[in-house]
Amino acid sequence: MATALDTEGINDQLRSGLASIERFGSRRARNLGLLALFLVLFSIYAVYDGGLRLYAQRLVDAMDNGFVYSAMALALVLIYKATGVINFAQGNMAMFGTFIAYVIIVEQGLPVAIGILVAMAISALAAAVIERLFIRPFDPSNHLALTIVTLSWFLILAALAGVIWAYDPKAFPTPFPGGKNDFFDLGGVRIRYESIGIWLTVLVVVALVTLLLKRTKIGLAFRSVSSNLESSRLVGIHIGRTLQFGWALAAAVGTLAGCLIARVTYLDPNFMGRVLVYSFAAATLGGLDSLGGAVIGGVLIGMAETMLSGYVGFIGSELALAGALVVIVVILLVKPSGLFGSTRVERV
Amino acid sequence: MAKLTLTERTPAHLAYRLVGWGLAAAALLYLPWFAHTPARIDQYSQVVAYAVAILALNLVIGYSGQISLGHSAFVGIGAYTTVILVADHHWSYFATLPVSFALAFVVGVVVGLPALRIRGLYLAVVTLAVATAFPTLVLKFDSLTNGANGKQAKEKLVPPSWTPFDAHSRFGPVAYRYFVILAIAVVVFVLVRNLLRSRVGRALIASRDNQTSAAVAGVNLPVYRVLVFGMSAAFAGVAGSLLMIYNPQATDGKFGIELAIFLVVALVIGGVATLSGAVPGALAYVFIPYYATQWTDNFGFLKGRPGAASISGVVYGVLLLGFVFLLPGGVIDGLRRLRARIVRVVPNPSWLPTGRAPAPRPDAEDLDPTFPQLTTTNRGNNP
Amino acid sequence: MSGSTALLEVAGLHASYGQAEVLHGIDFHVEPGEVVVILGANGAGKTTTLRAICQMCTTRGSIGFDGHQLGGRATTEVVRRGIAHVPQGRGTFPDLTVEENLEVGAYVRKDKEVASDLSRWFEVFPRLAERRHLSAGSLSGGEQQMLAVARALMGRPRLLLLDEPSLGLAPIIVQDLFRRLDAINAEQGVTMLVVEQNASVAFEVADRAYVLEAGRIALSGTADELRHDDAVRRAYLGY
Repeated sequence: MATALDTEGINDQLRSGLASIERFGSRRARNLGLLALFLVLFSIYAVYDGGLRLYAQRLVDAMDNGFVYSAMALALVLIYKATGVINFAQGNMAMFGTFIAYVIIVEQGLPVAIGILVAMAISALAAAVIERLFIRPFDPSNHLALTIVTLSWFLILAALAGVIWAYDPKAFPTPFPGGKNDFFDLGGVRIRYESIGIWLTVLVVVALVTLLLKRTKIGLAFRSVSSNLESSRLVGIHIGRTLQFGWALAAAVGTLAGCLIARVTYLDPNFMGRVLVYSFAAATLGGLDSLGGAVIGGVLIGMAETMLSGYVGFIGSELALAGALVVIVVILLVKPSGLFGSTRVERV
Repeated sequence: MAKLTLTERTPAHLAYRLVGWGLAAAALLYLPWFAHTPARIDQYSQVVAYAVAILALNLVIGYSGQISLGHSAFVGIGAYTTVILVADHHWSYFATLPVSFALAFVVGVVVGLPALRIRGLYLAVVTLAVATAFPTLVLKFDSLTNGANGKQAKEKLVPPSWTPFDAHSRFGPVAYRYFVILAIAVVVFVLVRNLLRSRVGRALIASRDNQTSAAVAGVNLPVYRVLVFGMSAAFAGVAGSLLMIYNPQATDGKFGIELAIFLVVALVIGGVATLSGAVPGALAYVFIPYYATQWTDNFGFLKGRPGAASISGVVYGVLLLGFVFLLPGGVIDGLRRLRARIVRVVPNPSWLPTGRAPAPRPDAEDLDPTFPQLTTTNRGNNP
Repeated sequence: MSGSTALLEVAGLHASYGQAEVLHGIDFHVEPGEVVVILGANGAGKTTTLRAICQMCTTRGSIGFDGHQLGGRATTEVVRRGIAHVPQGRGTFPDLTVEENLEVGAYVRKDKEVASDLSRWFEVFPRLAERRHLSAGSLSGGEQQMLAVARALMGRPRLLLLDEPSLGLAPIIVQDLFRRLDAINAEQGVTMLVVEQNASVAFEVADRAYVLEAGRIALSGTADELRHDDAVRRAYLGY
């Protein structure tokens, strides 16, 4: 009996996989194909322009930012999927969490990795409190009021950080070996250990979050709430507590993202502003209700940022930011569900 | 408390409204006389200019039901247009107003066009990006904008000889500028009010809460939404120009995301979907930081801290939360509720088809519907 | 008529959405093991009745379930007391797989028999078993309805509420569905309260029925009585 079920199971997986690809459909394949074509063409131009080694080096450098954008985009999508609310405070929550890590590491002297983990836990707790006090009183369908609540916290956290820590940029340490010689050479391309550390950390976090969502009861509850709020109530799921879990998770991931990028950008109350815009672009590109899409979108946006500012002369970092804006607008105009999102986005 | 009941269109009602408007007009006109220093009049000018910006934002948030976090950019566009034209090309301040209006309108339409075609919250994301991008663009095009140093015009607006303002007295120029700004603001208010009462405006408000409703009564809604967004941006541009009239100094830091969010806060505090809410909102915006910085000097632990000035941001955020929870309709809504305890206006039976007075309704005079979505809904028992 | 044996005892129930009152004081009851049908046209208040029991709208009046008052309690608490609601339009979780839909149906259960229940319902609904790893959104209407019923039953409810299960389904699927419901009621003793527009198929499974019109109970009686009632025949059976 067991063996028979197993083959059934395998058949099901195959069929489900095939069905997914079919549903994935010609339209998505075409979109991905176009994107891939564009990337290939650009790559050819880039290699022609500056050589293969420079191209590869830039790719490697791009991944650092890209994975951080992936992490923030993941946090944004988590909350958006579950609540339909865009959490504008996500960036500043991450900023505040990074400052807390700073205090723990630099002022209290704890090891960097421990400091980051503790800061993540504190962020999660704080987010849980914020959800309980300021989000739960509202009807989940009252998106506008909830968005204004997130805006309030955007303000409060930014200003509070300014009052407490002022605006001079602070150096933030990396948990990975970050010395001048901590890299290895791959065919002339320098890959820093820190980079590998960042990539692996984000990938591990994404894997953990995926496991959490797919294999635990609370994860199932969270996905149910994201899928159908009313039916979740009818099944006995406590909506508030489930959303609270989502908020806590998103906050922790956001703080991690902030800590990972802070070494490069330096730490001040405004440092997550640009990251947030890029992360929005990443989430929009990937599809605002697709977790995997957010991750891929982050890497793509990171690459676009570095490549464009590297290869196209007049685009400095300022215009790159405006470029991210253009990306968001174009996607929303052409395909609002992004690369991997569901097509349930309404048109007006 | 005895309630005074007024019937619409009767002389008593008209007198009541005249008195109301008259008091408001008198207050605005005589304000400079009560100022002790020219700087105080300058502050009033600032309030009026920001009131225009808040009103512009209200067009989008209050009446179209979308969130725009990017109006700081439109204010900035108007401001930089004016200051560049006046400083570098010696235009008159008045001549720059139509240019600001037009330029901001065009940018507004370009920004609004894609984002307004989809679910409202995406507009917030796009406008947030616009607000973040604007200061960086100012820095990038520094040959035009003077980059991080900011753009200044040396000549402020001075009263011409044929006006009763003495260009050489302490108060004269400042008061003149106040009245110029006030006059332009009144024009904008009247324009907005007429826009909202037009067929287009009413269709917009009617469809505000139901975003998937089909085109209402022959009005092409998506087109009008974009146009209204453009108008809103244009009026915000005018507000930017007014700010330059008050003080012709533009820097990238003044027109960033902070301003964008503060405008939303001021709007909620004043009262969403109300015309008069722009005034308390602007008062809050100008005077809270002013008093907050004075206040931090009294607070031991804040005194001398480099970032202490940011405390006004904390105050704002807390205020915003407070209002969303307790008084979602803003100050104006609170005032209306107070007023409703004393005066009640009922419709006039003589021009109803039945000729009979209907059952008394709570507030027949309330022409501006309070923004319905902003209230904490009682969901019964469910958390 | 209704003794203290009733599983669900509703008296003087008013239900409203905001200011609009939809139910103007209705009385009905459901005995354990019964299938009770509430018939009514569109707008009569059938869906509201079920939502009122689950406290998804504002209610006034008495809703007694197994001796406890449900009024004023949270929906999740009503569910925990043993009521399962299959909403109008199925209410499946389109992004979850069929199996996950069933798993989440047992969310409030703390016992260890969830897995065996899962197998059992897969036996009862083999079509669901065939598609257990597919996302629920890809199922046909009839399959989704079966999934919704099975999900509700995974919670081992004492009372199953079904909101217009026939809506949007082809007649042959509807017949099949109601036959299964009848079987589940007979074999497993699950008490059911079904609201329906499709009277003819509803009468085949019902023990008793009520007719709801404009928020009030117009008629009540056994299925046989109502089925042969002239007014009912003309209005709901078409002859």
